[in-house]
Amino acid sequence: MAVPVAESANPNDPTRPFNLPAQKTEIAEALTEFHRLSERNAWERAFKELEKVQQAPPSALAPRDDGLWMPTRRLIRQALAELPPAGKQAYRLFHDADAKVLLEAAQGKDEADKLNKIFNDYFITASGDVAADRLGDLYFEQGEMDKAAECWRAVTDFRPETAIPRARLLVKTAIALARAERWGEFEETRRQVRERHAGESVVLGGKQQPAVQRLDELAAQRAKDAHGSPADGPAASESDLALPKGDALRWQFRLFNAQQAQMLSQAGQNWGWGTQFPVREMTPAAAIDDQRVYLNIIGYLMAVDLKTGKLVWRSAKLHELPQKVQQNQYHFPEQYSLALNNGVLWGVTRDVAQIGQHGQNFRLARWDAADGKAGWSSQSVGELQNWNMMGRPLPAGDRVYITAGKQGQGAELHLLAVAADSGKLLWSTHLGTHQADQSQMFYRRTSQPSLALHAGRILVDTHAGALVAVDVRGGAIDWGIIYDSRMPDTNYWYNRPRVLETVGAPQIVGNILYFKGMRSSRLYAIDLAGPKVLWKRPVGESAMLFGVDSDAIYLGGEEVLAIDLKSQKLLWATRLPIATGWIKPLVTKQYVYQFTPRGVFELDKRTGDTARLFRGADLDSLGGQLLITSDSLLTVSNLAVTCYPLQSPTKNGPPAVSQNR
Amino acid sequence: MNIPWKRIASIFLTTLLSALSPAARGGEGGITVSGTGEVLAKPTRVEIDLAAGAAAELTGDAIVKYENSLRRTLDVFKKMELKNLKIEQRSLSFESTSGAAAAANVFAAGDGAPSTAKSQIDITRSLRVVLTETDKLSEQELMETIGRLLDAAKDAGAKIGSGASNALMMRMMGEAAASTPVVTFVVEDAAAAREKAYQAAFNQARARAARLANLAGQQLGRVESVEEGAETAPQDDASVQERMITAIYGVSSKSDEEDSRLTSQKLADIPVRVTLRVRFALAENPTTASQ
Repeated sequence: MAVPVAESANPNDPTRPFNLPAQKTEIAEALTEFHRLSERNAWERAFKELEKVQQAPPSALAPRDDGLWMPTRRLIRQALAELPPAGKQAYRLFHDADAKVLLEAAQGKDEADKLNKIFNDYFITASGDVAADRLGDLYFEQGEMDKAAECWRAVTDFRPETAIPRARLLVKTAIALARAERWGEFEETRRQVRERHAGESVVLGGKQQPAVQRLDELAAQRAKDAHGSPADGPAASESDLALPKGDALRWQFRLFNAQQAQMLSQAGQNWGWGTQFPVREMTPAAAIDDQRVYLNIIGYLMAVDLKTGKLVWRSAKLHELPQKVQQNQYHFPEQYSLALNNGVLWGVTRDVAQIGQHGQNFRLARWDAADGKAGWSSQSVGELQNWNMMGRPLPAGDRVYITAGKQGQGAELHLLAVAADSGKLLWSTHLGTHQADQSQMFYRRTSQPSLALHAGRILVDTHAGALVAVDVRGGAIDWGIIYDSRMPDTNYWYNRPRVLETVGAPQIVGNILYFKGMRSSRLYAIDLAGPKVLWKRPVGESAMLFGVDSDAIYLGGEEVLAIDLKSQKLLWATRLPIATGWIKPLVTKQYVYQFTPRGVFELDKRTGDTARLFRGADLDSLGGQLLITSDSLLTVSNLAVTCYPLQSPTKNGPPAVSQNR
Repeated sequence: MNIPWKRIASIFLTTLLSALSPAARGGEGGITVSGTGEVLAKPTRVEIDLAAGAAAELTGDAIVKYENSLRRTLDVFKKMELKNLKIEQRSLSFESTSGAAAAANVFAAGDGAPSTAKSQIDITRSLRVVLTETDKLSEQELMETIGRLLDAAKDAGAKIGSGASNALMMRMMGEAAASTPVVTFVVEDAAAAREKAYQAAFNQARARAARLANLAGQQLGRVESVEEGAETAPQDDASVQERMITAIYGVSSKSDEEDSRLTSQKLADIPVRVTLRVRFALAENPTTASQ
């Protein structure tokens, strides 16, 4: 039985770097009390405690014993479903009549609300299974496949005595799973239908057919669509790079000359106290398509032609940057970002006239990738003007998702869905509260969230100690997890040791989410179907997740690590020279690559041994990011963008590059 | 760690005697002089101290990391196929550390916020890369070879210059010690050079004494005593800080065997300097006596 842990349910726990929008402590305690009284068969008192929980906001989160935080409505349903028979009987005695009335009244515009009420609060009553089935149908019609599957699956899992044919429920569940592209669970459900209900028929769309027929059709269609590029396959396991034989480069685009580089490397020294600003070791935000590489260097945007290395367009003259950086201290270089989608460049940036100025909002803006023509900016959209944008935008279809805080509320984090064409704010969701005001952390990297889109949910790793799954349709929080993370210190201390901090985005393979927060020493695997924490294991805090294939998980940083996917054992570790945490390694079919101040290391994925050390032509730099096209390898450092020809075009196009920043 | 009591006592006594007595002192019926001999010796060996290993929260991880690191470090030198190169595997240490992030949070420990930094097990093998017969290489060849060795070590992920003396330095001086020398030049067999230095020192003492005796109208007699002064030749002429540590704390990272060698952190001939205090008896000069 999942029992909330009252001690950790404090919504404002000062020991956590980040707190989720949780229920009040007394609600979590009431849920705990319900479990305690249930174990003593004190049903009347137990249900009174449960009523307190039912009257609380249903979407606020409360902790489960496995570390996941769920909306209270789901915890109530689960708590009821897991009651012993005597408890269920007692609950029905109290609530069967109420549920029946509610079910009969569930018509018209209130139908969904009333069915939801039964599903959440009265699921184990006589009307609960019918309500769940009808609610599943409603969600299916609305295209909300995850929710539909959840309703039908709840009946098969927790109401085995239901009169609704099990085969029909399983088939409907499997179809919803297929539509949600949750193929692993689809196959498991299909297997159940095949093994236990092979001879049965179901009515689908008014037509009677063998239970397994429709599922086989879906599986066949999927196999056909996925031929050559399995949807559930490794995210980063493509063809290998054929690095140039010598160190010959195609072109190099210098960002700074020696004097400017010196100025940047000394940023902070004129403030005294041994101050070191993150800008000293930053590499610019970069994005690439098949024609250009795009850079966002502290608000200076530019595009460089991939064939010639010539500047195509720029938003301002870069040479003035080092001087501007020395004038102020609130640079937040990690907050500048870029994303590319269908010829549109999305970025989070500040006007260059405001570099380093305290309290100035970062803006979300769009540009035409070909010519740099500016589109709308959140500065010019009324309802977005007060938002301080953070993290890397996630453009998807007609929307763009971005995390943000409101001006003057640097500790609060929200997720916004914005219309891509107009900048209209579609919804915003409060994700939680930082313990440390991010706008005050000028001397070290702030937590800039990473976003991933999967099966109708945005997964937001705050990189501050929590990950949140949000429904893309309305922005409701589906679940969250608070993970171990070091508390950042907003003060600056004289001669404080430098700490290497790297950032890797969550990786999703199949239906499994892997993530590791920036200041966390734990790597997590979560089954998104549950959701359920599959495992977590210690890793170095300075490590960053950058790839997962069918065998292993790869982490980069001062050590490149391979961790066995099945056993979670460390397979190998290779220590590499490193001078900046602003790196982006990559994984191909046989190798792992990391760009270091001593060149690009090509490591054998099986052993971690250095297959080749490609020195390249940027050895004065701190190392940095790797980008690839079908015929080129690009390194993006703190000093230059350098393009090297690959010996022969890679097969199947460019390897998938992790979206880490 | 060896504490060179004999040497410390010798330094102390010699310094005391030097302060109390003039350089040349005529005793009752004798004369005492000091002589210094210096011979330059060419380094025959280059040593680079390395450490292979890693830290991890899980000891199992630390072992995997350590084994990988050691194997790769050894492999990279093996692949160089240098004739006079060998790798000495020295001490193996197990330490519990709190990691860099925890160190950074030490400053804020007083604010009541709990530290979430996890302790780690650090397994480290000290290694010494030894290149012999370096006196047969030209300076250019030697520089290139050392460069290759350092590059190989860095590329293999080994920590360079991680000897005990450097660890002491880091503890004492923090980041200011980041420029610690990493290559040591060694004269392996210093005995022959020392012999020559002794001879030169004695010859100088005898010449001085003879000159003084002559001035005094006396004749130099037999040697009555010989006392060896502090060896002024630097054991390690660049490591001032290390000698400070030895002088202040009485600790040294060098073994007895290493004490018998001559080392320098600069590529140059290493001076072997010997100082002797010799007491000669004085005899009447027959010529002067007859007068």
